[in-house]
Parts: sequence; C-alpha cells; structure tokens
Amino acid sequence: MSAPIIALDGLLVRYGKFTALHGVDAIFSGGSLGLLGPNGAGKSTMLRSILGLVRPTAGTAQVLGVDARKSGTELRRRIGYMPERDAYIGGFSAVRGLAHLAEICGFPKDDAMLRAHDVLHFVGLGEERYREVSTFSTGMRQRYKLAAALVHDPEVLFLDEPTNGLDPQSRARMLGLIERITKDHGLHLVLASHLLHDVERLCQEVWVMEGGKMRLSGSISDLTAAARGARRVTIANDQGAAFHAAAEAAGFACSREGDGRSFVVHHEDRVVEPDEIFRLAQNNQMVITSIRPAARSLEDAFLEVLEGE
Amino acid sequence: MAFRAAEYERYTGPRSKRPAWWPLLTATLQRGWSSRWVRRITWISLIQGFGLCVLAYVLNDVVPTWRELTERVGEMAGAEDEIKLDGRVYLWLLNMFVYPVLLPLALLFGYDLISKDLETNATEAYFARPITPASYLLGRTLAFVGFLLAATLGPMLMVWLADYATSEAEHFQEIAKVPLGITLALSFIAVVLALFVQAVSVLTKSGTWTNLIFVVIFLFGSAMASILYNMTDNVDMLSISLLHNVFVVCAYIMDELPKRQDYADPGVVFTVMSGIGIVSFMILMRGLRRRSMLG
Repeated sequence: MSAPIIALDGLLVRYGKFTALHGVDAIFSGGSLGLLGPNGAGKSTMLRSILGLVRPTAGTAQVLGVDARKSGTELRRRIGYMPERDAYIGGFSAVRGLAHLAEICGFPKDDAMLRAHDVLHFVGLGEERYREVSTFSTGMRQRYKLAAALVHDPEVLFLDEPTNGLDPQSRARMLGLIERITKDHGLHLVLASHLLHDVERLCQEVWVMEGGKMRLSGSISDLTAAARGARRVTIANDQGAAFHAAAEAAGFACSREGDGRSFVVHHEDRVVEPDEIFRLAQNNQMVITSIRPAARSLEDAFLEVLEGE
Repeated sequence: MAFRAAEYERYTGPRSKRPAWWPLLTATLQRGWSSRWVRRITWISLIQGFGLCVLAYVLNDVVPTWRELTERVGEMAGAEDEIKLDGRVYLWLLNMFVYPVLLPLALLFGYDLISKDLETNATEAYFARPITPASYLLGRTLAFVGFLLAATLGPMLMVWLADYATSEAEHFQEIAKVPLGITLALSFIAVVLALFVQAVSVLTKSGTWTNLIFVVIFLFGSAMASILYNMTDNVDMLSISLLHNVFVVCAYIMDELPKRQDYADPGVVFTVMSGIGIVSFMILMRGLRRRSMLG
C-alpha cells in the first residue's frame, strides 16, 4: 500500500496562549480533499502546517512521506499553493513573475520562461501574459494565482478559496480548470473553501474542522448517503398537515420540505423502516406516493456537524 | 513542452540545484537596473572614477612631477595636516564617490524593495516555495549591497588602479592597504545601510515614508551629532551621524584615522553601526514572518 499523501499525527499548533489546532489526527490517501469549516476553524493554520510554514507545537504533519517540519523547504518544491489573498510580484509582467517563481523552484531560466508561457495559456491568460498582474481583474488574478501554483509542476495542489469573488461564469471556468488538472493529470487536490457546492463538485473526501478540531472526516458519498436511517416520504395532495401530525404523534421527528407534500421522517434512536411509514399511513387513511432513503446534501452534513447533532 | 500549449502538461525537464536566493538576487539586480535614476547615479559615479583615471594618466604624461607639485601646493595653502598623496587621499575621495551617492542610491534602490512585496503579498508567493525568509533576505540584500558597492567601491578601485599604474614603485607601499581596507569598510557600511533601509520599509510598508524617514535620520542625525557634541563635549556623540561613521569606519579599517580628536572612538562607531545592522536584521525577519503569517 502506498504512503498517504497527507498524514497528521496529533498536530498541535499554538500561537502564544491561543491554540489554533488541537492535536489533529487525519489521513488523506490521495485524490481530492475538501477542507471545510467556518472562519477561525483552523483551516489556514492546517494548510500552513502542511506546507511547513508554521512550526507545530507538537505532533507531525507528513506530506508525500516527508515531514513538513523537518523538510518543509524541500517539500515546497513538490507542492503548489494558491493563497486566498492576492499574491503577485509587483513590477513584473505576469509571465516574468511566473518564470521567476519557477526559477526559485529550480527550473533552468529558459525552461522556466517556457513553462510560464504554457501555464498562462492553460489558465486562459495567454493573451494577457505581458500585462502587469496589478492591472488584472479579480477573475484574472484568481487564474493567475492558479497558474502560479502550477508553474513548478507540483504533485499536490493546495487551493485556498479559489473561487472567491468570482462571477458565476468565471467560477465555472475556474472549477473546470481545477477538475481538468486533477482528473486528467493525476494531481492530488486539497481545497479549502466555504462554498460547499465547489467542494461537492471537485472532491471525493472532506475534512470538517471547527475550533481547531477535526469534527468529521470521510468520503463525501458516505456523508451524503442516508442520514441515520431517515426516510423521505411523499404523500398525496391535501394530506400534508395530517401526515405531519400523525408522524409526530407516533414519536417520529418530521420535517416538511418544499411543496408541503414531502417530509423527512426520522427517529432519534433507530432506523425508520418503510413498513412503519406504510402502517402509519394505513392507520390514518393516507396515500403515500413515494418513500426512499433521505439523502442529505453536503451542506446538511456540514451544518449537522457544526450544530453538534 | 509545446509552446502555447492550451492543455496542462507535466514538466519532465531538469531541475537545478542552485540556491533559491540566486534567482531573487538576479531579479533584484534587474529591477534596480530598470530604474532610470539608479542607472544614472551608478553611471555618473563610474564615469567620474574613469575621468580621474584618465586625468591621472594625462597628468603623468604632461606633468610627470604632478604628485610633488600637488603636495607642495597643499602645504603652501596652509593645510592643517601634512599633504601627501598616500592612502589618505582615498578618504578624501569618499566626498566624491561615497557621501553624495550613498543616500540617493540607497533610497532609489531600496525604498520599496521589501515593502512592495509586502504590499502585493509577493512574500506569501515566495514562501510557499522552497525559500526561507533568511534566503529571501539574502538575495535582496546581496543585490542591494552589490549596487551600492558598484557605485561607490567601483570608482574608488578604478582610481586606485590608475594611481598604482602611474606612480613610482615605492608609492605602492603607501597605498597597498587601500583596496582591501576600502572593500571591507564599504562592504560593512553597505550591508548595514541595505538592512537599515529595508527595515524602515518593512516598518512603514510605504516607499514614500521610507524615503522621508531615511532622509530625516540621515540629515537630522548629522545635525544632531554636531549639536550634541558641542553641548556635551563628548566626541562619541558624533557617532549618531551616519556620514561621520562612514568616514571613521573607512579610516579605521584603512589604518588612516587622522590624529585629530574630533572623531568618535572607532569602538563606539562600530558598535553603533553593528547595532543598527543587527536590529535592522531582526526587524526584517520579524516583519517578514509576521506579515507573511509564518509561524
């Protein structure tokens, strides 16, 4: 079995008296990982620890089998990082700035320039490559940052809020680019984002953080699967209110959705069996038009974790 | 990799083992040279040095005894110290090649060297790559020092070469210690100054404020040094003046410190200059770490 891409073992980071990460343990085996959490959850500290930019108080962060604390500098040759804030070299054209960054990663001068041209073409900034980045629009700057993360051909890509401030068209374009890189070229992706739809679209796994602690980790398909045995029930017209009352009287928790005919029915302690719903409907002379496992969105799962349910 | 590729491709070419600060050094030199005024000051300084070289050759041809004549004219003019064209001449040349160049060049080259990187978050882009704050500072500072030395030490060494080439063999004994001495002295001063300007720019985060503060420290320091010296009669007060310190450092390292008493003790001067350098370095490292959110 190959080594995990990221392995965190009791990762503890303190800034003075403030503890930013509380001994986090987690493993990311490869593919694409979404890093979720509200502001101040510790996502950025975790990314910086993984990049070897922040020295952990205790514990270890291994990336690609390398200890980020001991060999952070060497590790950053193999990692591409797109920061949340704008980050560019003032006074340089886009292509000159990227070539300069590639040179720092050990590219020979000519190769660095060629690579900078290519990466800018890839992100759709080929025509603008001789402009200074300070003159770029928000969308162009985001794509430039992606190009900067890619220019030295990393093995793992860390993207911090890559679609921040983008209009829907630019966002779709950015997500498309990231999808192409990760799916077609085998780059591993770690995506920190507030936008759950972006994570749901791009990632297979997710880590949910809050208050510097890992609250949840797992595959997105598992998280969005049947929610603790709940059922989504759709009943015939005009019977919504009656069904709701009957379900609650029978001890189920029942929440109404959408048009008033759909309900998510669940029980605190056990799986809700379809037979129970059918019996309930039969006893109350109601007609059920569909009954299926209640899948939940990533947003539901995320909120559920944060609300401590 | 094909040129103008619209598809992402993996890089399969070689990677060099060159230190990460090297590209930063070359890029900083290019950035400095792209400034019209930095180019002008450097060229003017070098051309002045070249002019003196030519003058030495011409005088040597036209008036072979020009050295003795100059020394005699100096005595006739009633100079306080004995006039002799030995290593002390190079201390006088500081007035030509160092004092007028140091302040404008340091400001024009260094005022936004790091503050601009902080303003555009370039430091975050740098430190996400295999470069540490210390390497970053090394690349930037070496380029800065290189420019300062090219415009100050460069012409002085040119003049020394011309002096050596046009003089009698015994004159070499009088000026033998000049190249090493002036190189060490100006290198020390250039490093301190480069660190100091960059530290001010990290603190202010603004090129304009860096310029203003540096000019005030440079000029106000010289004025205050004289005032405090006169008030307290303590000659070490002169070490507040950067220009005074430049002279003492050069004179001391070249072993040509005048016997007059109106110079601060070299020990005090070196302590002040080293202190400025060390504190500046600490401010820079702390500023880079904090502003780039490194822990």
